[in-house]
Amino acid sequence: MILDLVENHEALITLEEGSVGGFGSHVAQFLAESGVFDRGLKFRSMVLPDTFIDQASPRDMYAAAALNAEDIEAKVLDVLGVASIGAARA
Amino acid sequence: MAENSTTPLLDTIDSPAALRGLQPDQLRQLADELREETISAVSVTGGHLGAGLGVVELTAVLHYVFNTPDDKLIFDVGHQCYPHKILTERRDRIRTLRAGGGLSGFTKRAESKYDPFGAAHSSTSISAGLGFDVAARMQGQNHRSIAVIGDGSMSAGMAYEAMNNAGSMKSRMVVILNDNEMSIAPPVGAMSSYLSRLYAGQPFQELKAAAKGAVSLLPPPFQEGARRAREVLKGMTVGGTMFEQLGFSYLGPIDGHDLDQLLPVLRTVKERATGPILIHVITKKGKGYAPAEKADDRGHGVAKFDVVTGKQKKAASNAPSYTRVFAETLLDLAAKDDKVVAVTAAMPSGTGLDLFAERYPSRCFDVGIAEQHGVTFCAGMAAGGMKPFCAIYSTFLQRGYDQVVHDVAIQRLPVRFAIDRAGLVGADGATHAGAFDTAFLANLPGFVVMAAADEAELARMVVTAAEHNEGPIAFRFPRGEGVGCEMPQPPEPLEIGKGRIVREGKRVAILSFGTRLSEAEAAAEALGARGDQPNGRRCAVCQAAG
Repeated sequence: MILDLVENHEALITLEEGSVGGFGSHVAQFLAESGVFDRGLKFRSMVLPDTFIDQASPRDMYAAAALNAEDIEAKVLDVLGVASIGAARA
Repeated sequence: MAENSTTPLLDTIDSPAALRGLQPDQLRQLADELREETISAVSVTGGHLGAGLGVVELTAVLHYVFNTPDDKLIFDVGHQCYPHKILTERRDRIRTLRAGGGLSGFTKRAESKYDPFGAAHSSTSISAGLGFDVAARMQGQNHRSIAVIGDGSMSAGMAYEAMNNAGSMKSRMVVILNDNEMSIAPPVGAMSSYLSRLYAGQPFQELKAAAKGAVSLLPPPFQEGARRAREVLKGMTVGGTMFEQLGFSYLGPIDGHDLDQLLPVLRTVKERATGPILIHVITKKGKGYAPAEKADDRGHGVAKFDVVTGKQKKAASNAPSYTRVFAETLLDLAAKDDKVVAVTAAMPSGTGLDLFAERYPSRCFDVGIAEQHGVTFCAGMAAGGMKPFCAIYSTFLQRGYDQVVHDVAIQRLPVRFAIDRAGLVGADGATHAGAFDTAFLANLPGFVVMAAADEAELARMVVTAAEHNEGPIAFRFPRGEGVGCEMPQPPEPLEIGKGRIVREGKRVAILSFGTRLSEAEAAAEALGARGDQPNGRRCAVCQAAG
């Protein structure tokens, strides 16, 4: 299924509630071994950052981790090279 | 100082040094005000209440007798530290406990010099205390280490590893066993006057012998499945032999709410102890606040509450909790398959297995705070033909990692890991984050790792796990409520290694593992709403085969 996704999209972004070394890292390993990066796939892995996050509401903690909807949105635009909605429309 | 303050004496104490300036007969009032302030603070913040109330007197006396922060006071677990924080220059922020930008609900080095060692997981205090003791001696310092550890924490092997090591080293550390499972204390009058006389200059051994005399006043041990370790422990502390075998002098039991016992004992220990000593202190969890004392859990963890009535303010829920969905699905499975058994490590209500234990008491095992044992115990049951569900929070599963690798994975045993509190957990902070379980499980050969995107998927994952006999399998789910989706009746197993397409799109594929899916969907919605943006989005949910 992952290879199908990669066939039909120019970018793949993985997303999880965990540190580096988990789901995204395994997908990256799999794609690397499949030679997909040799053919130019854009790839991003959204994971918990390299810090221990102090207590707050779960939503606020995920904001600190940049894993909320607005962060995912920004990541998509970034990987496609679209600086901002306004800029694209102008 | 506020006018008409209800804590006039506490108001004058801005540090442990100020506390040490009080006269001994002022400590009773100080303790009462400290208790009141603790109740007041937690009523506003929510958090752990009962544990702190049980150690109000003990905390005050420890700071009074010992020269903190040079003397290292280490609270095991740390959830009983709110009175400690109030006394150690953090009273002004005590109503920010557990909130974003506020005080941690546990001890934390970065927060205060009076927190020499951070905690939140259990049974680490004696090990850390020994480390401080050795470091002090090697640098020619005279500082003392005092570890305050509860009887619950003593069910973990690590506490014995530490005592065994400390006992053989002739360390001067002090271990205070805070025992709140017993509800009786030796008669105050006889003990206190005897101890006071002893402190006046009798040999230390006599003090110990006198304290032992209180043994006959303790109630007979009570039988409860999950508390066997503590029962055995109590049977032994009554004679003190086990601790002495480990190299510790044993002193106790003494009443941890009676300053007339605590003060002379701790002063004597400070002046006279020449080797490692364990002081057995009897306290009452929730002491001094009737709603807590009467509660089944003695006010262990509470939401914000009304001080006068004790009534907690619980937010209305919109969807069932993931924990509940797991527990109920497991119950349905257990009804059809008598090989299904469940294990928890001292967290029956947190894991939802209290429901399981009620219906199938002989098939539910609470091993105490003993994750290493719990994991290998499950491995043994799996090898013996059962279908064990090992329900341990992500963060606590860290405590049993070699057992996961060596006992479960290498032998490819079909243990089912139900990993609650995956991801970020909120008020308990970094110490309880379920950040690493995917990383440390998915890299194990033959280990299937799943993450539920919503409660419907969780139910299906429980079923999938039950049917998977080829090797170990884990499913993770977060704290809190589900998304409110329809529940499949009955839940069908999932096909391992397959994902599902949630939304079709064009240029970008978002591959989500677990409950971030709802955020990805929201992002896709927002991106789609931007009209002329050419980027599309495809979200899929995937279970990775390890």
